[in-house]
Amino acid sequence: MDLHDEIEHSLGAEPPLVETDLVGRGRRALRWRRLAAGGSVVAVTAVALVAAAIATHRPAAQVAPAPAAAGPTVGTTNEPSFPPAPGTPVIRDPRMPSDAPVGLEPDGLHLAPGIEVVELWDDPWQVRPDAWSVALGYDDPEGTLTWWVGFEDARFGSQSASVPAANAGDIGFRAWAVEQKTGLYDGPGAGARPDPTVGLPGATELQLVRFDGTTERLTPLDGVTVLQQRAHPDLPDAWATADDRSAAAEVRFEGERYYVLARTTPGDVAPQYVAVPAAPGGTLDDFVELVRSARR
Amino acid sequence: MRSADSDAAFSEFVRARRAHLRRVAYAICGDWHRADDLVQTALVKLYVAWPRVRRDGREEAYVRRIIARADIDEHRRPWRRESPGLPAVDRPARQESLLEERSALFEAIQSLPTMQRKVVVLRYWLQLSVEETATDLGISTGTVKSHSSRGLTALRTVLAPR
Repeated sequence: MDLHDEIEHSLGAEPPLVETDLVGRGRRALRWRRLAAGGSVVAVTAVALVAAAIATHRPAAQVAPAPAAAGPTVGTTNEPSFPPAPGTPVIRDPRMPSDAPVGLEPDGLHLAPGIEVVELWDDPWQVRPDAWSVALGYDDPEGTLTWWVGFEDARFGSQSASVPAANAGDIGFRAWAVEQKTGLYDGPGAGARPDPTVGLPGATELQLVRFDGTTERLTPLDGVTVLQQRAHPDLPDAWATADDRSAAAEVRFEGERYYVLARTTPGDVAPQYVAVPAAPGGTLDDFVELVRSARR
Repeated sequence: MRSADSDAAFSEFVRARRAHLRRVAYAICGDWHRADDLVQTALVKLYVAWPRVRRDGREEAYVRRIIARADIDEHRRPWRRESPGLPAVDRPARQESLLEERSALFEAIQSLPTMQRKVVVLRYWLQLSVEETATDLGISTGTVKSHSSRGLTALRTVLAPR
């Protein structure tokens, strides 16, 4: 049996596939893209109404939600609709399912009845004008506080994440919301970033560490030992600017020493990690110096 | 609105290739629910780009690339992911028997660092060339070779002797 067959066999049996209306979802995504391109002018009437709520972080329920109806309350204006201008339209939507009571749509933030917003952060990922993100904390009808963050991208659709606030550990609401951007948002720039290994002989994008939350401290992945590390080493802008989070470290993996560089730029899809086999007798400081002098 | 013919062609592609793409996503992320999310998101993106992508005859490569480039390391963020606004559907309960069927090789693949895992899946399961793998992942061919070598080394302990 060759490796292809062994991997194929290793996947095992698969659970039944749940049918979904992909054409319907695709049409909706296409409509959003056209809206973003200015081809249509549908917008909600609740924009100004709810912007005041965001400015004061008052619960949406206190700002005259749209009357309950069979579907979202949508009207037409001459305002461009996507992404919405700062200030998040909140729409009470009885169609939202109980297991996903919050959702971003091109026309605003849709909430199931009984969901009470206690904290709302408009566009925490700062992805306007290409897309739109919203983070909120809400109480459900049982009184459970949940943190939720999601984005809408006219070209790529949407994703969101949520966690019961009690299960989020010691991270705060805003830090949690920002952290979710990595991995969820693959909008502009995805796959277009320069290869970070260029200019460093022997370098690969082997990931041996990861950033610890939003700090510049590196945490080893399984099987890796961090021997020493430097937060925010002074590197040329081609590697990491002053605004980037960056770090360098010396690590051991499978009996070999490596130097690693890590950086993440505000707005990045995901951090970039580079590993370079350590030269015999070399030091981390030597490596940082090599990076400083490397031509890119 | 797209024409009925265009929608029909898209639906036919989904019917023919969704199961395979789902297995690709599963091989990369190790979780069927997450794999379903990945494939669904990728197919919606495909719908948006359908006329252009279909004209070029690279429908599957387009979807595969989106799946391959997704950040799928769920170990780093134990948050629940969801797809807001989707019709409510009852997903099948996780079937423990399926987990039991996962082999030592599969577990070893899942334990590889993210990019190594993706490279191994694309190179040795999907049998893409080094260049195709590099294009799918947006990395250099040298990096693909490096990850291939390291991935195979890591898997050697669980691979059958050959």
